[in-house]
Amino acid sequence: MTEYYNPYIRLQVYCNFFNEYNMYIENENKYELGITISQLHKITQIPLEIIRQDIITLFKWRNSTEKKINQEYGNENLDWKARIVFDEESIPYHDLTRQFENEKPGFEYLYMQAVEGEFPSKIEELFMQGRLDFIPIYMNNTFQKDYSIYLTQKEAEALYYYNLNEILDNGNDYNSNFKMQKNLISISRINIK
Amino acid sequence: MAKNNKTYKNSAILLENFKNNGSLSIDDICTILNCKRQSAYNYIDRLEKKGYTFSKQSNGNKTIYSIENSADIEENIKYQPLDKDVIRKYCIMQKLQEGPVSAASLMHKFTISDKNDEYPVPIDVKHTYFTGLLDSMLNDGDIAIDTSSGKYYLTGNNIPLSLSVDIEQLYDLYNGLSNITPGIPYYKQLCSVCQKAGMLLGNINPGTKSGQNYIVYGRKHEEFDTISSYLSDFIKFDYKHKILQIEYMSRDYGKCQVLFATGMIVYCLEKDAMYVIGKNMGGENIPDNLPYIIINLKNISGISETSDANLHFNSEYFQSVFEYMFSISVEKPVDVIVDFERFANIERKTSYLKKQRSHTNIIKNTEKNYETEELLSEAELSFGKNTIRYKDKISGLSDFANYLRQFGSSVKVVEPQELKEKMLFSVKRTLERYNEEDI
Repeated sequence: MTEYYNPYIRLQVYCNFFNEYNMYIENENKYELGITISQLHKITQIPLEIIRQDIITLFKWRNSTEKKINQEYGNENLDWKARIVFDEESIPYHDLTRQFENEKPGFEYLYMQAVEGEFPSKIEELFMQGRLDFIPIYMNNTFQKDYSIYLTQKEAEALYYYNLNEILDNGNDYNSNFKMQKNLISISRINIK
Repeated sequence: MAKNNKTYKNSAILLENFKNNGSLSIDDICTILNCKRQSAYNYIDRLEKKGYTFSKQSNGNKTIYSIENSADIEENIKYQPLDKDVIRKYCIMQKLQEGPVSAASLMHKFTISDKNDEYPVPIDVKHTYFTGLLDSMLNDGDIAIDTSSGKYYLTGNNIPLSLSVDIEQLYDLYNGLSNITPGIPYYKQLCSVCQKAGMLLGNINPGTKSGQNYIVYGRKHEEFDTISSYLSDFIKFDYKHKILQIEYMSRDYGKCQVLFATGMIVYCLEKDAMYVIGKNMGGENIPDNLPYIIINLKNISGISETSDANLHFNSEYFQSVFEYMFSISVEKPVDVIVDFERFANIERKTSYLKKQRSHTNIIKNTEKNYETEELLSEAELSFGKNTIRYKDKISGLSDFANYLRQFGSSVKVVEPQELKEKMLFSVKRTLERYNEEDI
């Protein structure tokens, strides 16, 4: 899927799957949170190396944002949106912490540092080696409403043609962005003439 | 920002040279990128972090590098890096997605303030860097300024426009676009949007080549054509005016035969099943004291029509049951009061629930005051701080209890006692399981 070469589209797809809404699995009487790197790879066919690198960047971004908040607002435990986290209740997470039991620093310490301290290069290594591929990752609530669908120019035009805002009746002022865009296109055409 | 771009471009140039030449020395890299030796080592290091494996061979006093996993290069090189600036610009884009905004209010949208119920996504850079990001987006054509209002808006050029929807709207979009017919304007584009919406709902067509690559994420909904085949078998009979004799498999009573006065046909989205609810007019294996019955159309094995008139179709009773039912139920509606801890995500979930229900009242006890749409007595307002009190009239307490269990310790049932007991039973049962000795 060539559109995944664009990092914005990848980010949008990740956020859709990192949605905090968890899915109830009836047979097992449990809730699944988020998604693993391995599952993301299966769904999107984006190479594992690319997904791992992208997730590292998302954790680094969380790290710098936490630092900025601590600096400006003190150590308040603010529930800001889009914090990327591992599902610490998941079995793969526990398995990994057990594997690190006899090592110093342990995995939980490394994870804590990755979130708020000096981002450890060891965490990057673990990601790139694929050792974190099976831990579910989610966002405490994503950037966006719930789900976001990226659109090509033609698709946007199609939805505009059918007046999608009326269908969905939401606060998403999609049409006004598009109207502006159309104006811009017509202005640029006049200028070319 | 410019530095990241340069690094990306140089990495791409370097990979292209590895692809064409097979191997390169540090001196070669310095010449190709016009950089110092340390920078050349840094580029090798960056590529290793991206997953490339290098083999090294000595040739006199030179070390020659070649990439071992070169088959992946051509594909991976096409992926533009996702760096922190991409995330920051994405945050800006999400705000502009809501509509055009002026520069000053755009910055304000990233400020954490006590006035906001939900904290926004904060920006991790200083004001000057933030305006630099806006300038860069303007220069790249990602955003533009409307000259009349002075507001920024998205152009959709490099950063694609996106459509933000909640789960209900996602279903509406998918269902609406699933029924379009070839020949209408923009047919191809609408099909493509439908496919994208379907992917988020787990509706992947396994017949397509790429379908093999997907796992189904979330609940897989039964195709409507399967459900409609059960329905078409049922509606062959005059169910609105005549009492039917139905043979079906009941979860509680096994194989049953019942004289059934149809009250309503209901599709339940959560259970992805079509049901008929109606009055029990007598039958085999069904208790006489069970006045109303729910039958899953899928479980019906035989239907015949009687000459007796059905006086219950769409009756006042069934309309009232439908209004109060949670999921699927024919139980008598009861008043429920539930307290939720007041967290942002819980607040959102309860307000979604309110939208779907007709007789709901939500009272929020914030740190400072009570927020409610109704005038309430002091007694009704005496509950804990930072609590959301949810009041409703519900038929189907078991399904409602299932819904409440997702909130764990953040929820407490105030009334009725029956619902309290259902919640307690599941917690006790779980605790018992942990106390069982492993065999």
